[in-house]
Amino acid sequence: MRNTPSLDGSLATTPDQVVLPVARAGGLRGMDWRMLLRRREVIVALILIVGSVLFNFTHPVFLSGANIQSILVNTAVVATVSIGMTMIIVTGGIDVSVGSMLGLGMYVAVTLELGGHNLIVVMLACVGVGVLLGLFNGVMVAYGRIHPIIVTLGMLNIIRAVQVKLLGRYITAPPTTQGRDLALATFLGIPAPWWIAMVLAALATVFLTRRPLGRHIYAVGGNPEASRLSGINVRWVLIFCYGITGLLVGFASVIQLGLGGTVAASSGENLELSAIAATVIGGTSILGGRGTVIGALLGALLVEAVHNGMIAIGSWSWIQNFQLLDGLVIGGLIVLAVGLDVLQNRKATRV
Amino acid sequence: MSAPTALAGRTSGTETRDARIGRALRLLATGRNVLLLLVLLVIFAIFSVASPTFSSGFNIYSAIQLGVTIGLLAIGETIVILSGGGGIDLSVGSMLSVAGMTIGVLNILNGVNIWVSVAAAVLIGVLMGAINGFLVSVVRIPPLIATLATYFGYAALALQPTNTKPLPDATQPNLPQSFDQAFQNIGNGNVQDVPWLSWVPKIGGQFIPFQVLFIYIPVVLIAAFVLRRMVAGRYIYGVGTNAMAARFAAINVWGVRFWAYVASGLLAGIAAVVQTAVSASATPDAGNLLNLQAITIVVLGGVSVLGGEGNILGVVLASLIVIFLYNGLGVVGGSDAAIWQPFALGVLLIGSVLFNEWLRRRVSVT
Repeated sequence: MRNTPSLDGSLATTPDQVVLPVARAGGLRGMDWRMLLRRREVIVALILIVGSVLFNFTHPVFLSGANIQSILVNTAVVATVSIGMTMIIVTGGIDVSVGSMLGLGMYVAVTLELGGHNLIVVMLACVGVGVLLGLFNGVMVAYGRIHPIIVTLGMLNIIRAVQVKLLGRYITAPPTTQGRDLALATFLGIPAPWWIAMVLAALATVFLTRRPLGRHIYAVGGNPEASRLSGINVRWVLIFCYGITGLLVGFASVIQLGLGGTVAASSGENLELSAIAATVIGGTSILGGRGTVIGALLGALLVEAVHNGMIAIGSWSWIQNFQLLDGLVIGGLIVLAVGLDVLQNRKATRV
Repeated sequence: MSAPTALAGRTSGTETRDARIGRALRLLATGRNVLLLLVLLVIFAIFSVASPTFSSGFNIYSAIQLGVTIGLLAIGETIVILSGGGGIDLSVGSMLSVAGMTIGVLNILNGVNIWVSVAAAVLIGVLMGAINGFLVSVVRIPPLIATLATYFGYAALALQPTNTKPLPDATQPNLPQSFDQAFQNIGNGNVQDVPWLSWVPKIGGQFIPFQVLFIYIPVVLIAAFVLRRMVAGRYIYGVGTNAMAARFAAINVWGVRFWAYVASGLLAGIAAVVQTAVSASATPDAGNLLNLQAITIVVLGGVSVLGGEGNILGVVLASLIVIFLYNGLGVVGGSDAAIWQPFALGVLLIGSVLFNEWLRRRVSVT
């Protein structure tokens, strides 16, 4: 089937190293600029930088400090969730229930904040709820052997129903809470939620490239049967990935509540699309086995930058609502990114 | 299609308790449609006890009348999932929204003849299915991602022409305020309204909805016939069961899958015509909740998400289960129904796959 990623922790799994093992044998030549240019993270970063600079000529506000801050704040939640989504997609799975989980997490957060609880308590509760839901997804996928899309599609509806039932119409958080302070804080001119996303991404990157369990995630995605035969506890790896995603979503829900201040029945809707978009645009293969968290972070930034740029352009006579814009732009970027990925690796895929 | 070959257990002379259980489970696995019928009867019994309204002739009549839409979408979804290779169509509901809006935009906003608009809507459905098929079969984007992208793309597209407002639009009095009556009769008429069919007896004091006899049943029969008896249908099973073997048998694997998506688009287009007629309105978000319903029905109906296994009768029974579950919760649940319907659907979806898996493992071990 697909090439199995290297199991030694010393090599980060890049698309080139996996798809073209020959390049790895070339030693240092594998580091030349052409190889670098073929890495998705580099491509996305270049598009982001060049695109922003070009766009700034016509709309000079785009690269202003305030607008960059707004892009970073708006990206933080998606970026945090897409760290977990990357791990899940690397195993060959998918989680479309993250949006509903975020909605339920926000409900828990707002209820506790209204009860005057400490931020630590709020966070622990949200993370706890997220981990429980994530573990449930993971157990269903690992032991029930249900296709992840089916499990999480079912959970998307179940969790949303519970949230709507508990919530009623909507709840507004108290105007001054520690959660809000955290979400709106800045450090060195960069919003705190983005710092948090970057720290989490760094931790995840170290974990995925240096720790045995992290390498096992790639192995399971590359070839589950070979992983099982080589003694990897495939079920535990799967449960772990879904659990971690739940944890990150629970955490992100506190941030999201801090940013928005209100929980509605529709809170978190379409988050799954944004997170999947960020992940696959960042170079994670939907077939499993390949992908990096840094790519997902850059992918999330690209999606938000495009969205932000569209708003900057303003009213488009033929487009009447932003939902269409979002749907078309994000959907188009997903198709483009996955299409490129598939076309590049046509030789590696059969029948 | 048929039960897994692993089911062929031993047939020893002395029958132990284990063997009897094994035989019962095998019967469930092979006679899945019997099980579905039992579930349907149980749901019927529970809701009939819970509310006298549920079992009234009129309620059953309207549940079936409204259920044709989702029944048609489920048939299309079945064909896609049967074709294997991770085949799934998350965009059926969104395609329905776009095709429905096509009728509204052409007929109400532009005054195009209603039957031309209907033909255009079905064509648009086919076109959207072809786009899905192109992304999956030519570009080779995994179906899950390709149709997830078009799911959002099409849903957004349907909102565009009227900016989320349904057609006919009561706030624009200079536009026509309804569709042609002959068109609405597709959804709201009865078989007995047709002059040469006025002799058909009522069932349980109720008429027979027009679209059940003239659209749903023919589609089901054609789909079942094609899948069972025609080369094209056998190709779909062949491709779904073992793509490599199918390729060696000189079957164009990706070509077959392309046409499966086109069929799904065609059925979404037809379903959109029925939906627009029955609600007498082209609604931009008509299909929003139907994507998950269609997949649930197909999985519940015994179609393997891995492809190549399942039949139309099971899907029809599963459609009835979901239709009456929704209707029953609506009757019993009151204002909370809109919350518990998706909840029940989610539980049903996960539960039915878990049951499938448990049964498969249990039977192959015994």
